[in-house]
Amino acid sequence: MPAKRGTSSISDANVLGKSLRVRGRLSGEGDLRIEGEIEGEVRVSGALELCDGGSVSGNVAARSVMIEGSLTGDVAAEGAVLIRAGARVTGNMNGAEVSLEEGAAFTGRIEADFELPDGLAGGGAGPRGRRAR
Amino acid sequence: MSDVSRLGRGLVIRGSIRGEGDIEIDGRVEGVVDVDGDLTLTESARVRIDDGELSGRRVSIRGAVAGNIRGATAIVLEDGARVVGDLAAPSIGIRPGGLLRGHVATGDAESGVPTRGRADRSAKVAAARPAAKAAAKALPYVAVPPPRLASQGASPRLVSQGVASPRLASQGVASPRLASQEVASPRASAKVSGRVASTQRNAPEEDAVPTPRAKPARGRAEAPAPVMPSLKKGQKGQLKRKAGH
Amino acid sequence: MATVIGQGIIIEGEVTSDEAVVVAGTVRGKLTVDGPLTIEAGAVVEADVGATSLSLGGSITGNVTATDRVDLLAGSRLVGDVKAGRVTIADGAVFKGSVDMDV
Repeated sequence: MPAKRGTSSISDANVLGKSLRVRGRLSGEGDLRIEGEIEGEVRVSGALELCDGGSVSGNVAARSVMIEGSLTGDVAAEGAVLIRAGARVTGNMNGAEVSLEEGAAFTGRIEADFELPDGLAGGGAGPRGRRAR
Repeated sequence: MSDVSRLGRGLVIRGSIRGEGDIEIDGRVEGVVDVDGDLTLTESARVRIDDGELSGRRVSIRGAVAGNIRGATAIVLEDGARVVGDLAAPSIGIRPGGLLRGHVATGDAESGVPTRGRADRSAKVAAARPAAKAAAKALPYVAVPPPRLASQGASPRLVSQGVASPRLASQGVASPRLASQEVASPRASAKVSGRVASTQRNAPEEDAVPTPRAKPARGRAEAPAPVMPSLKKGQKGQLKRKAGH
Repeated sequence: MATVIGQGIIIEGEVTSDEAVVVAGTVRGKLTVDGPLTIEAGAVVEADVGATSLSLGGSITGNVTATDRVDLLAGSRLVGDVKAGRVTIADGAVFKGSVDMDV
């Protein structure tokens, strides 16, 4: 039975090992833990974990996403997106909820799923028109 | 003494709040807030910025804000925060339960231009793409060897340990064409289909991530002319296929 | 959950509150409080003011309407008209305007 690497909250995961580089589209069922490098789109039905040291250049879609490594691309999650303190992310994050730990390097849009209360909607300067997608 | 202000829950201010000192906002503000002090918006706070920013030193939010926010040191969205607007500060945190729709740029370099949100954001994303492509070219192509994996049976492991040595590319383990090879176990728990020809990210976009891709397609308007018959010469067009935006 | 507008803060615009307000800073525009309003020494208000009661230690330039009482403390300054049920003007207060107690 292959040993699990380090501590992972994903059990029974598919793992892309640390010294692996993949160029191409990657998709599948279940969870995925990325320790290596992927250049291409990644889509899994389960939880996706991009570990410290891992990197993805491409868009990502999963049920939930946790990023500790480096990502250049957009993320679409049904559930939560969590960007940890050591992560470096450039891209747009879409999820039910998107959290960002202080210390993370992040540039891009965050789009969580919610409504503003009390007639606040529509205020202010800024590219709010993009909401109407 | 009067260094800490509190704008109570029953308070409504329409106008501007400026000056020095820390402020705790429990009530409603419509206008602009620009102080040299810490801002704490509690759960009942409702702030709408009409012209300018909600700006302070350390800005901590548990209430609702419509408008752009700037923190000289940090911005933190706590559980319960609902913000529609761009954030700019050297340090930005969104705790679980904090909800945001807007552009975020951490670090000093970006904090100068948050209000030019749309242009700035797309410029950044566009800048990131060439960087990714350059990195791509630098990567040695590595093929995942199918026979090895198949022998592992129905293992959920996509790639086994030991296979992935850095020297793999030079071993010529697999043919350069990975396209037709299914690497996964019989359970099809994972599929890697490498499109060698199309390493650019825009190729897999046909059935790409279904949600909005904020990357504008305009830089790639090399679409064949027939797609947009009404396009005049010299006009840039939107690629019709990339309609997810 | 009273409101305190601190010394270094400047508010310009319309301020309304349904609970007590203490002003130690600057308010310009309009200030309406459905409760007691205290303007501390050093505070500057350039606005028409409405409150149930007003205790003035600082300065108001504007008209004052109080359903209950208005107290101008020593050192305070009011330039404007006052409409209130009861009015006291302490020795040392500066007041320029009219007083209407027929509320």
